[in-house]
Amino acid sequence: MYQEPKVDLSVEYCGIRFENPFVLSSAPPSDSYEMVRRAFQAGWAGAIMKTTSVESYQVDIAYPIMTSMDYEEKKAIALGNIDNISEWHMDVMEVAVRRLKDEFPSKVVGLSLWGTTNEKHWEELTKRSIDVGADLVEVSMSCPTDSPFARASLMVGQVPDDVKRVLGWVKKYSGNMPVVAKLTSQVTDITEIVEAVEAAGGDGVCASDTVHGLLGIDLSTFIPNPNINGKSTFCGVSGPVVKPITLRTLAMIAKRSDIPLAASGGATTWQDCAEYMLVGASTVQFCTAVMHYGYDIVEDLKEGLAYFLEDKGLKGSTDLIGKALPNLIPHGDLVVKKDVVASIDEPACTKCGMCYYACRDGGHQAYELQEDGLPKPDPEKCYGCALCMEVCPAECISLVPRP
Amino acid sequence: MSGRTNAARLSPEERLKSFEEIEKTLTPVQATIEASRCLMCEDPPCSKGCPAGIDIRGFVRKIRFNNPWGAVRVLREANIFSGVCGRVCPTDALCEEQCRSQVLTEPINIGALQRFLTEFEAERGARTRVVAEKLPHRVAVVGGGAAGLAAANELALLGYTVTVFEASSQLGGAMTAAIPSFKLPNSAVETETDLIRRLGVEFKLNTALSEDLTIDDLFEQGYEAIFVAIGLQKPFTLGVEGENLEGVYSALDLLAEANGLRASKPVKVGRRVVVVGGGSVAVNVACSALRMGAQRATLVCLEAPDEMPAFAEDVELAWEEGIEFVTRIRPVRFLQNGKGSVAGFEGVRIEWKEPGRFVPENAIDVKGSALTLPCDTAIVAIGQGPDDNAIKQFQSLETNVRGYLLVDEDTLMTSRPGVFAGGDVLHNPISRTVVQAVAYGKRAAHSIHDYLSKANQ
Repeated sequence: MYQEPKVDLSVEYCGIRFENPFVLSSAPPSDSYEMVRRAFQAGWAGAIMKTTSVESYQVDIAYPIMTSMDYEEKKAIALGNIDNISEWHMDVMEVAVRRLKDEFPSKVVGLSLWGTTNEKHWEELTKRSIDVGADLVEVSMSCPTDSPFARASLMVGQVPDDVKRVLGWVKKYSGNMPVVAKLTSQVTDITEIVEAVEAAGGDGVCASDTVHGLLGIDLSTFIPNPNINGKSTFCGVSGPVVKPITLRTLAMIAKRSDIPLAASGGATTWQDCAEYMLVGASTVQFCTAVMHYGYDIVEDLKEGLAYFLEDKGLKGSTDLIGKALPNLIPHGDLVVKKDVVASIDEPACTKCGMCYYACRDGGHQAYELQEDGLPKPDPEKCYGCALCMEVCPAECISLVPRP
Repeated sequence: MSGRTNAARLSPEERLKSFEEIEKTLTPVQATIEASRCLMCEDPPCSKGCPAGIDIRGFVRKIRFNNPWGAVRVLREANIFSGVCGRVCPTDALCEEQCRSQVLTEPINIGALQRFLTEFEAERGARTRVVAEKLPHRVAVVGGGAAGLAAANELALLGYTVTVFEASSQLGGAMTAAIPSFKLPNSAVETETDLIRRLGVEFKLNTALSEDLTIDDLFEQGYEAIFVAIGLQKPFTLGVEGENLEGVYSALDLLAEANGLRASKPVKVGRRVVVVGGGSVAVNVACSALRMGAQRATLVCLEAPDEMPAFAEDVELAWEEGIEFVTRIRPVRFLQNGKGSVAGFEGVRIEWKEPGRFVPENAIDVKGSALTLPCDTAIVAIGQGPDDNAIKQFQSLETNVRGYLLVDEDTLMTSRPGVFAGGDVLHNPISRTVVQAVAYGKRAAHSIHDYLSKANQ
């Protein structure tokens, strides 16, 4: 009915065209042919099937696997899982990929592989991926949780030599099929890891996997969540809370390397995607938002992004990629000055005083409450730190040039 | 989970100073908060409760996920009068009735969210709507109210050349003539009729069907199908003594005056007003009278407060504004001051013969309960029926004895092939609301499309 925005949502990643940047990450929403078929019908451009392994590999999963963290009234701002790779082995995934590629030739279908320390497993999985027509493979480097390599407490993706070794095995057999390293953000220096990916000939990077954490402890039983017969373990944290970590990881990589980047972790809206693309991502992978709200959210991702691009006068998604990177510089290079102060739009102020005590106990004691309860920042005392502006529930505080 | 977010409202004191719209628009922050309360139910009951078939979960989700233009699209595809309906729909009886959020707290404020989006659209300028490939067929719509305009919109989108014939000087029908602007400003109606105008629909104002412009004439002029949606113009009368006194008006006259339209007789509102009727129009009329100079307005009706057909929201507004309610009263006569002007209302208390049937035939007077209310203006607001003149023009169409048009329930076609009818002019409309009229208009448009597609095969 309405004229569609005249923009091109398509992107290219590792030489593969995606009709839009929105892709299902290797996770529960992409664990079967039937699920991905529905996702493709809803409008997702691609899917990385849930990580799979050779048939002889035993996958143990202790249920329940999910837990979450609420904040005040917001449900599940973080989701935690102690899931494992897919219980479906390569034989099932082969059928899924074949059917999906057959029915949706314009969609991108990738496989995510896990072969432990055994080069033979990696070889077999890689060769079978090529045979079945997968568009790309991701090498899972941070799930399952424990690495069989150097130290049990480390993941593959945390040890540059392990990254190089595993990727090398896959690259040896991958031919023209792109090989992507799915990385963890939990490393001292992500660029060191990316150098290892490049050294091994990796074609792309997906950043990043869930963040390992502990989502909460039941105060009545002292058992951490999720409770599995009275015991628990650390989990992979996803959802809106990990967005800042993903943004930084992407930006760190994009600042140092031109390797194709897929974003993963923390995206819910098209704005999140636009931000990921602005720091260098070509595609954006989703899991938690889909698990929470269903595949249908892709309609709003596509439409919302298209209208945004049109409003900005941009031709397509590609125009966003990396555009925020020049504005990101080391802290030491920022100009040190204090030339803004807080200013209140008085008619909009509720006189709650939240700015007052934030400034009193977390800032520079620049606020005074007037007799009628109206808070007033003193420009002489205000450093322009922005704390008051960030906590103001009426959003009536702005920073203005220092008088 | 937090409670319902309501838009700011004028205080009762502020309201009475003018016809300014009482309810304001949600702020963007409020809209986001309200949308994020939506449980986004699978198989959502809200959409089932919408006569216009709006995908409510869809548009609310689009607000939540920051896709307002997509949300506007969802609204406009289903209901071209989304801004009007966002204001005047009895949402508590329709979309919000089964809203599952009320299991936790309160239903989602669907009407306010809908209105928020249409104002978002108006502020930025509506996006161009794409019309289907032009069809070589013309359709006439008789009546420029919600049903006629919704049909015109739909037919234009399907590719037809559409002309709307409107008897009065203004489009909108009951939306502009019978709903006071403190609930629905004319500008809100104009915004949406403009969207229809932009599709190339032609409007002929001050053009009623008459002896000079009959159904036959329209066919002769080359219109291949006709949609009749002229609504109800003739106010019902009480049939009591004194109804023709100076100072006794119909609800439509008072509302026309209030909305700056041409009333059939000029209305002068005195200091003390009695309104007879228990529907939303009567309640709105009483509130309007207070804005037109009345010091006191009393609403008199047959029903007890909980039996009144008026929407609860309208009654609540009236309570806030100080309208007095005198209920379970049967009008007996209007009293006069000796100079031919109304000076009072006389009524008698009633009880119901059988419970639950709130009609005059079921009322019995309570002996010795007569009461009089002094007044210098009285408004009769007990509904409208089909216009005699219009009935004459439709002699070729079957009506019931009271002049309501009879149609095929599936196709909305009248007894005459190619002539369709919908909205309040039907003998038994589902309900007389804007959204129901829109639903009729849409149905009629698709019926006409089917009819013409077959006829021109």
